[in-house]
Amino acid sequence: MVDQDNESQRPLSPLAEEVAAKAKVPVSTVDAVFAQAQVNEETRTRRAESLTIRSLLFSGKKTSAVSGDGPFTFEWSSLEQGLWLVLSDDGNQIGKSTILEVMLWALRGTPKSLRPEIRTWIHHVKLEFSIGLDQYCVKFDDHQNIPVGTVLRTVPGGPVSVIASFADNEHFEQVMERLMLGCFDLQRISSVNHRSEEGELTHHSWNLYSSSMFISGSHPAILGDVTVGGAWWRMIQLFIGMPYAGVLMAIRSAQGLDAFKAQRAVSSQPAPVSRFSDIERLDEEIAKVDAELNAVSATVPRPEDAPILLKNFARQGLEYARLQQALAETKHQLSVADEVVATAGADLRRLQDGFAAKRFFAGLKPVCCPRCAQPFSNERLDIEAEGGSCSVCDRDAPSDDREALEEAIAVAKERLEAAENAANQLSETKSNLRRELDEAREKSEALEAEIERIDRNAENIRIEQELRFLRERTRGARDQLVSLEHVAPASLTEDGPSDERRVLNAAETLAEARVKSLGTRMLERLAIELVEVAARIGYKNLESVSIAGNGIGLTVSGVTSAFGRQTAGQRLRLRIALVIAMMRLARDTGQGHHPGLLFIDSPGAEEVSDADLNAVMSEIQAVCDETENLQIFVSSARGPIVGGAVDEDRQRWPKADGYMF
Amino acid sequence: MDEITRQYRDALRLLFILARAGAHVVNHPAAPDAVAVVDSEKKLQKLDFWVRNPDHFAFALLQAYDEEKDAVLLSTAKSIVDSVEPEIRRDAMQKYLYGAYEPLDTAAALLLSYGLIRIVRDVKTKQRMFFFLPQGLAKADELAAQMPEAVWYSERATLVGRFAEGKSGEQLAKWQYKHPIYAGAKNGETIASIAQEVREKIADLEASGG
Repeated sequence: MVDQDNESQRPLSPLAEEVAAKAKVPVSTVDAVFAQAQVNEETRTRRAESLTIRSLLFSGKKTSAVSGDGPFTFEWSSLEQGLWLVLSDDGNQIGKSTILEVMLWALRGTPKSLRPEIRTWIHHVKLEFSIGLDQYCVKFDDHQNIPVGTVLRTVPGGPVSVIASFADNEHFEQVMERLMLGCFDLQRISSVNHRSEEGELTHHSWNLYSSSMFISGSHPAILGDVTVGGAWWRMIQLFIGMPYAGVLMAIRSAQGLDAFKAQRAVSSQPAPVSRFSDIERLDEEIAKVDAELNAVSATVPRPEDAPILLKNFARQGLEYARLQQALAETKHQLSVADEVVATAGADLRRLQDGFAAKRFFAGLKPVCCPRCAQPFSNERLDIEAEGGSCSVCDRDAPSDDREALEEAIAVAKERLEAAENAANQLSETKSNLRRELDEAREKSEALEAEIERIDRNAENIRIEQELRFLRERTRGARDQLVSLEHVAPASLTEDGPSDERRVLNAAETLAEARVKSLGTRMLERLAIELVEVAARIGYKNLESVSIAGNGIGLTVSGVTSAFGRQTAGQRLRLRIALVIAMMRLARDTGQGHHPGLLFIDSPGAEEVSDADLNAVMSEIQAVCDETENLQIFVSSARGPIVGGAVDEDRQRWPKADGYMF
Repeated sequence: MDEITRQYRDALRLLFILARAGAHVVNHPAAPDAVAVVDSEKKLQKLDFWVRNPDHFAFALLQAYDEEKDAVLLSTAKSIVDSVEPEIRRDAMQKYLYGAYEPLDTAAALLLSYGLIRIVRDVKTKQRMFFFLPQGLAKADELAAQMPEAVWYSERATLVGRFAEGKSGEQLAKWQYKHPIYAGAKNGETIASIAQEVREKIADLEASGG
């Protein structure tokens, strides 16, 4: 570290002179190449000054029955640095995001994701903001998607001056780009447009930079919303003000353009080297794909059977349900029949027992009165024996009802027999239904297996198609190589590289060395800040981060990982933490190029629990207060959870009608 | 249909309950010639309930098995509910204030008039004691040997008598109250069958290895 600090303190000679010496060309040649490539030697360090929105006003007329027709005015003033919330309680589509979008629109000169129908409602916008000591005001009218307005600046103690006026979308965008790139000393990021016939540099500028201020969901890039061309990496370098990073980018863009043009120039030229080995490799690949195709085709399915099978399956399902119903009914009937059998059996048993008991007792002679227990006189017994009245109660003597009883028993037996027959019949029906049900289940299962087989085969069809495409692509590539192989090769390096290329190559080597020697320390400090902030806003297990052009490397719980492999919630935290970390670095070093303004739209969508979301917002608020050069706007439909993070005067809630404006 | 011979059937059952489940006596002061006695109507009613409700008797056997783990109790209970006894042999009883009760006077009158039993009210306890006389025992033995319909009553009364031996009418009542169906039956309500429950309980016991 000490060596690096010493290194950074040693005076650096002008890059152009070093490049001239290394490329063995005059300095004037280097200057000419640099001028064409828009490489500007760094001459000063920008003092970090952040952008702070002071007030927003927009008005117009709504034409939606849902949101309520009529004129509206939204005004939010007395804004300053720190955390500001646009909240609702579980309400969406009520205008929260629109507030953030309108701010961004005024700052960019072009809307980002403002819904077209909402834009038609807005007729006037006024945004006041400050950068350092200067106050700015963007105000414009917007009718039929054409903005007409001005940008004003107020210098402390000085007059109000009109910086620029605009009368259409393109002009508005240019005005804001010029203003912002100037204020934040940001250079335009160039890349080669490969789709262009002639080859040209495309410049991503303020729109690209401003995308780093807007976080909505967990975008695949850690910064901004462009994943290609390492835009995030370039922006980080430029935002933190890595020395010579901008120079190196410009040189590389120029190299890329040069290489692209060279490639175009030789594309009709013969192949420089033999492509025989490549052709052989492609032949092998084709053979391999053919083998795989044969294997897949062996199990080619018959998807046309599927509708018939599904029909049969449905029919079988109905039959199964019918049988189940019939079985349930039969079981019920059988249980009723069993009860009838039991009752008939009990009736018969009682009659038989009673009949036998009666016969037994009829054979006995009464000896005493059951009431007084006194013996009967012989006279009463004789009278009964002669067919007279009962010796006990003096009523008619007991008659012989044997026949009646036997008949009653016979009837009871018949009833029992009938009940048993009915039960047996039902029992047989039940057995038959059970068997049919088992058969129906087997059929259903067989059909289900057949459908599953077709389902699996559908996957085979997809694989087969993919293999066929792959084979055709490989064959096409092979055919191209074969045709090129027949053209005689020519050397590109016949005359050696041009002066321009030599200058760019030398410049790249030297600029890269300067970036590495001067910027490594800055990146390390940024990484430390990033880890600290990310941990505070809920990424607890993050141990270290390495920021480099080939990606963001992470160590999480001792395991190395990458930004792209993080969960949505972790990516969101890292995106927020990176901007905050850059501003903390700017606060500490006094230099930096990021505006220090951040819009976070619906962070709750990426969070799991209320407690987690609340903790994240509270920490963002705390970090925001400590950092002092940050202004963050957050919109969330989980207002009751998020709202606790700041005072009420830093919150905007929907009006009584449920809408923000 | 049932009513034609009801009193004879009840008398037959009562005969065997006294013959097989009565306590043996010799020279009892109240009936010196008696060979057995059931010393209270309450006890007689409780014995009658178990003879008339094989499912409730099987449940009592299972409860005894839970306490004593005597396999004979379990196998006896199982043999009862495995048969059609709980359905065919059931003669439901109603519940009155102190448990299952049905007037026995008519059936007892038959046995009295033929000189097979004697009913004496105990001077101290005021309970009616049902004495079984030698003539009654002779007839019961004769019936058990000669009348197929009498065999089941003889055997079941023997089983119930053995199970209830040494217990008072009050003790038997408490035992029968252990089942919620019995305890929960309202005054004047028929005490419901518990055959299915007992069958399931035995199946569970067998499934869990006893």
